[in-house]
Amino acid sequence: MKDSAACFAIEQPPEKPEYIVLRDIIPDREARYDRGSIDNKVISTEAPADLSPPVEPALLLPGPRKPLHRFKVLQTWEGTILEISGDECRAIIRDRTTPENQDEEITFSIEEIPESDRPLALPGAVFYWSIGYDDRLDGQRNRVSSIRVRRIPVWTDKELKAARREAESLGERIGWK
Amino acid sequence: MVVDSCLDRESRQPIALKYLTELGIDVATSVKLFVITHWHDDHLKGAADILSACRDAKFVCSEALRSTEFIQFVRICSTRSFMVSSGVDEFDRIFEKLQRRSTGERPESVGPDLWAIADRRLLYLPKNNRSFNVEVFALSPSDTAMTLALSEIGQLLPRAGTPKRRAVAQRPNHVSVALWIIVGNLNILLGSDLENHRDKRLGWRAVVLSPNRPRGRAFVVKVPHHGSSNAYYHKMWSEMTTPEAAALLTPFASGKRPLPSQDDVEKIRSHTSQIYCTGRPQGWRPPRRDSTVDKTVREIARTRRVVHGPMGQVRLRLSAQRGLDDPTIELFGEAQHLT
Repeated sequence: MKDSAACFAIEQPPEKPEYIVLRDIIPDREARYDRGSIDNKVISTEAPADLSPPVEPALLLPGPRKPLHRFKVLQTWEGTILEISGDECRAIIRDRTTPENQDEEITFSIEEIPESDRPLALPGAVFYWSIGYDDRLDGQRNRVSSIRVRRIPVWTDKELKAARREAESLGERIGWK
Repeated sequence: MVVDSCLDRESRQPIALKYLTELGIDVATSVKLFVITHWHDDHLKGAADILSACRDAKFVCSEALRSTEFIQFVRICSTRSFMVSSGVDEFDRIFEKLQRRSTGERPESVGPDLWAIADRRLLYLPKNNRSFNVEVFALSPSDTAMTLALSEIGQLLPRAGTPKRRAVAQRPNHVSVALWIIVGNLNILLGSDLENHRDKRLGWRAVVLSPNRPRGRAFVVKVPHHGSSNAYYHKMWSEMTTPEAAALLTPFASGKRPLPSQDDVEKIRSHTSQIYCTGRPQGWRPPRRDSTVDKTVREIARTRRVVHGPMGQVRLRLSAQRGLDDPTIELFGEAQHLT
């Protein structure tokens, strides 16, 4: 079991981000300011080649970050919801950590599904259930169970019409029509 | 004759093919009828392989599955939704085999495939070289069940803009094909997953009340729908079976509770003490995992069980030499006599 454990870094912005300031990597900044400046008493009637306003070096890029959390996965299942009845969800789950294991049928409270995913939790919907440890950089470790319902594409009218034509043609080929 | 299909756990072959082949039977020419009672996963695995191997068999399924909507449903689920559901997947393979059969892979003498509907005779083998005739009748679905089923299949089809979810079996089983087999002067009732219904035009009530069904009493009953209480109809037992008929049960660990329950068994026991079950009715314990995982699962899951495990077989044999009224019953593997 431990051999198949995996770690995922959870990307979270640090509270005080470290930044690299681009000022330090523009070599001719001063030279650009000097061109045509009043201090040098140079008057020119020609249009300057570069009409863009002088830009303060305000472009900031985030620096390298360390993840604040690591999720050590001990077990994952892929599930299919069979029925929602009251506050209870009945589902069949397939072991993704040890695929040789037989499928199991479970019931659990709908509360285990994140609120944002509950509208998707309908019979036939696919979900992933992970159990593991959430390790924080400050050394804290929490045991975590996470159920997420898979976001999947929707049927298009074009696809459904094509399937209807295909079904009619298949029915004729097998002599059912 | 082969009815429905499931796989041998070790060889992954359809159990019926494995058994008949081991008996030395040429399945290509000897099997005359292959019946799929309905499209749920637990009745279909390996069915396409049986259809392929049993070249001379007529294929029979419920008339309700003939609709374009059902074919569309199967095609949508198996080819377009990128998700697996073994019941519809297996039916898609059946369609593929049926296409091949329709293009000359099968002798013309076999005749067309058949649709099962209540009181239709599906097979008749006259005595000829044997000492008994054989007849097979469909007892269901009724006409009303057909109408209902067509509407239900239509509702299974997705609408534009809805997510591509997996196909989940719908209940109740109005369109299951229950069968009545006549061997000489003996009758056998295969109850499929047909359930009972308040409406006398549906389920077992419709079967018992039908004036056109074959008469007589069955001495062997494959108990409908895993012995569930919603498939129990006392008149099916009192009017269609002999006292102390052999009741053959197949357990089902999926669903809100495993089937049959002790109460279910007691109901059957009020008609016969000869109850045989092909496996453990309670389902199987999940495997042990990492202790942290097991602890978390215990906190989250209200109920939990493995739905497929080792199964046994109940073999009932009639000997033409000894006389058909002297059957033998043998149990293999996990099968048990429920005393």
